[in-house]
Amino acid sequence: MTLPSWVARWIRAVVPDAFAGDLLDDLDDGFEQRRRDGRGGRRWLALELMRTPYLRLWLQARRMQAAGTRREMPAGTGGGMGGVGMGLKVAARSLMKRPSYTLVAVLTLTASIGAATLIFSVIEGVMLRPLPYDGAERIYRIYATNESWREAEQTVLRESWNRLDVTEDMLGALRGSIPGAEALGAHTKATVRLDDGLDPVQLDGARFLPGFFETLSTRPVIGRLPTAPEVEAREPVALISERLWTSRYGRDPNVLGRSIALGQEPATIIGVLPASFAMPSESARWWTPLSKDFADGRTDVAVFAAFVRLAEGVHSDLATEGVARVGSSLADGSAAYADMGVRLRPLAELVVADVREGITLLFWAVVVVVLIASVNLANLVVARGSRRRGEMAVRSALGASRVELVWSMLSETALLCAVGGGLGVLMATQLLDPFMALLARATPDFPRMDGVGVNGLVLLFSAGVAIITALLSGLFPALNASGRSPWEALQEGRRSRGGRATRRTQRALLLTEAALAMVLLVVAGLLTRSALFVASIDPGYDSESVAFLGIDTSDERYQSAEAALALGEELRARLSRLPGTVSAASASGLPGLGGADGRLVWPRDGGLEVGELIWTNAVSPGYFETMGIPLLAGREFTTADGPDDAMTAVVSTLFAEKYFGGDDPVGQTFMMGTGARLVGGKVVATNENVVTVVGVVADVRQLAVFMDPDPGLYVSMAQSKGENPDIILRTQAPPVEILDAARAEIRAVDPSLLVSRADVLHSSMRKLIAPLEVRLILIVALAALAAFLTVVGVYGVVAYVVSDQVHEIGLRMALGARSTGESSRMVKQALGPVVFGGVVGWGGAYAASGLIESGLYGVEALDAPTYLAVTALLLVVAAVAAWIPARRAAAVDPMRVLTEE
Amino acid sequence: MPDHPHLTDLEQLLLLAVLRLGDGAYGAAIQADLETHAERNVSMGSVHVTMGRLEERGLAKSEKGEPQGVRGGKARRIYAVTPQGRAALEWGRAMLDRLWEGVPSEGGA
Repeated sequence: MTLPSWVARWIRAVVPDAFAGDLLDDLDDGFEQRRRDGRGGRRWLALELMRTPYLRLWLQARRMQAAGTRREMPAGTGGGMGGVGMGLKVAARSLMKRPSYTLVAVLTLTASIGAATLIFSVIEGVMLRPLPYDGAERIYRIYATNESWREAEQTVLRESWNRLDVTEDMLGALRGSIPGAEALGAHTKATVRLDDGLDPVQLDGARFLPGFFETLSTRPVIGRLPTAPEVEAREPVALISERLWTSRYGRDPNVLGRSIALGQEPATIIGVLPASFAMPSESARWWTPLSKDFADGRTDVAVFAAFVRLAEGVHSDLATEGVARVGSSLADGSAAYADMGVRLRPLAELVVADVREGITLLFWAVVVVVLIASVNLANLVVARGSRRRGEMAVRSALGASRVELVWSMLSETALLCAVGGGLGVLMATQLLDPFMALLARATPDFPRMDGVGVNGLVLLFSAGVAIITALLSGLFPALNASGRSPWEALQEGRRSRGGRATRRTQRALLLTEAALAMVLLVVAGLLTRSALFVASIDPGYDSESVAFLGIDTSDERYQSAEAALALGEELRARLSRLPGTVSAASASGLPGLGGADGRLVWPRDGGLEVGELIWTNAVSPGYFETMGIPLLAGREFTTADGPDDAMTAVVSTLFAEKYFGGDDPVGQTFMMGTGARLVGGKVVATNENVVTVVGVVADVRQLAVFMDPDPGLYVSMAQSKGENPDIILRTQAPPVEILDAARAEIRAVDPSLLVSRADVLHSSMRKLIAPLEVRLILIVALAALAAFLTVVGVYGVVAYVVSDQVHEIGLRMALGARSTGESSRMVKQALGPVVFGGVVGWGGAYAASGLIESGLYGVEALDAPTYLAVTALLLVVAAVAAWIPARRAAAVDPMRVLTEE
Repeated sequence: MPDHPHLTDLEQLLLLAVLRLGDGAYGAAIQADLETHAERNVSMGSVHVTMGRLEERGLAKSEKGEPQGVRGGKARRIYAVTPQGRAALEWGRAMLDRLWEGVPSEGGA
């Protein structure tokens, strides 16, 4: 080609493709000929371009297409401008001409498709990817159930009624009775001290029964699994996790054969399990066969997490029935198992049970945002479609098929969605790492995080979202605009470009958008209120200047009650003398962090059968002062409450009310078991004592900060077998500064003493709230995005209506209508569908709030103030968005409109 | 009278040029031929659009020629006259001849 390139561009832009190629070739020939002969090629070319009959070329191209006398046409020609390539080319050209529209649309799509990709990559990695066990889909967890707990008064019992561990008796009954079972395994989790010659640490792990590795089959990274005879014989072998192998032993292969002690029990490391073997949880670091003298040889203690692996091709219903039969025969055979049953749950469901709710909520929120983005885009396309109606009619009259017309409209949205989708995926890959870091901070043992990434399946999903968005937003308006007879469309003329049908469609879309946004706004509103409530909770104690250090007393030197007590006394005395310390105490559990025993309590005149499980905290003298829990009556513990003295208790206000009504509780007595354990389906006291109340303190939220206080009681540390106590320090200085000095002090007492945890109470409590906060931030961000998209939609519709009705407005104003009246009429027209959509959205919001109900604190799912507040918010922003373009209606000059007529 | 398609002046010139050029009847050649032999300066666009119209009426046809080895393998569109086109030309010429028959020669009689 010797033609200047601008000529080619010009010809391709303005001459239909049916002719452009041939014309260019021939112009090129002529040009070259003249240049060679020195006959003024450029002048000739300029003349040619001026004399080209552009209009006739277009008309001819269309006629030829309509008559079917197509030449072998290049893709995309003629009246329909058909063809995928041409459609996209035209679409790109047209989008470039409207940069602000294109920018808004692309940003909308990038944000929504990006968010969808991000959430889906987490869902795929965490929930959809198969678990790292062979045939994981055939593994089921076996739970015990207790019908009588279903309606129990205590939240703890009620929430766990169908997720109970099983006893060894149950395992015995299940073994061999599940149809299609290939293997049955069980373990019991434990947190113990690891002694291996390095600094001791406290680690989570599990002790397992025979069948464990047959059920949850895995391949060790190095070493081997224990053989069945080894497990049967309960040989002292141990497996450690790849994470521990890496962090503690630097992946040294000589770790095999190393002698260690787990909770004082010696063992030899024989294998390293992959990091993905997260059983019982992500924090598990060791596994060892259950030793013989576990639970004093009792077989009715419910502490086992049990699993069954079904043979290939066995339907789970069959196994479920078999399991249910075992449960009912146990219940019939023994009083201890009276209300009990057994059920199966797929393993995959359980591994991610804790995070499933949060992820699912996020996923639906993202779906809503993507829908709103589609609706928004659809609205823009409808407006544009009605502007192009005349063009469509002409094309249709000239023989363009409906498919070609639909495609020519759809190609714009397709292009937008492709670009938005691509950028969205890019955004997701960039944000994935920070997002996962955020999740990890919020949920320390977030399961299966390593598997998360943007992979083929995720890309497929993103492409699917982009295509669906394109179809949702483009197809409906395109069909709408193209499905009318050209005659009708031409008749409608140019006076009103939109017409009633378009405005009706737009109102419907606006309504949909407002309804969808309302759902997200309500959910975000409820979560915000819930978070505000949690932040405002008074836990009943002062957590601000309190540090704590957990002491592991599992060393054999501290096994006697006297030695443990003496150690506690010495630590307390030394730490209280640390500069900056106001007071020191020790306790077996920390309030708000789930630290408490459950003990069975019953009135002296009642029997054991009316016993009730009450949370109990064993505390040293000075505890209430250190924690800032007000003493309301009587006294606190002193050295007078020693191991050989009569048993005493300090009770909470709720406990006093419940057991002693209006009487003065101080000096009253009740019965208490010193320990309680789950035997079959019953909580059983292991011992009983008469306990005298010596004091009453204010209620605290001992079990969880979110839960209303339950009745509780305190016993003297000296009268209780206080294992692994926490030393609690109230400080003047910021508590975090005292931790190092406190550790040094503890080492001075006994260098081998293990500090299992050390933190500031306040920050530990904040970590508990972190998952709620992260969820809140994400949902609020998505809701804000949804509201913003809705506002953009409102703005677009009003702007369109104003420009569409210029004529009508001018006429009205000429007849005496006030300009402000015209503006407010526009705003009202736009707000109608928003109000209606908002009300429709209430229904959806109520349904959606069921999803988050279990995570709401201090606010009902149907919280009227929240509903009203977010509705008002939506209306106000919608009104502002409508008013901005509506002002243009007031600026209409009636004279000009009428002259144009 | 048989229903013969009427040809405009330009259409006749174009069809004649195509016939004369034979296998080499592409746009630039047609334009050059008209310029040389008919002293008609027709734009390239008009050549194509008129040939398109003739094609539509079934009087001409076209196809992409073989890509040429020289000059970057450009495949020109080569036009040809259909039998109907030739018949229309002949009819036009016969009609003109008949009309001429009745015209007294200048200066005669």
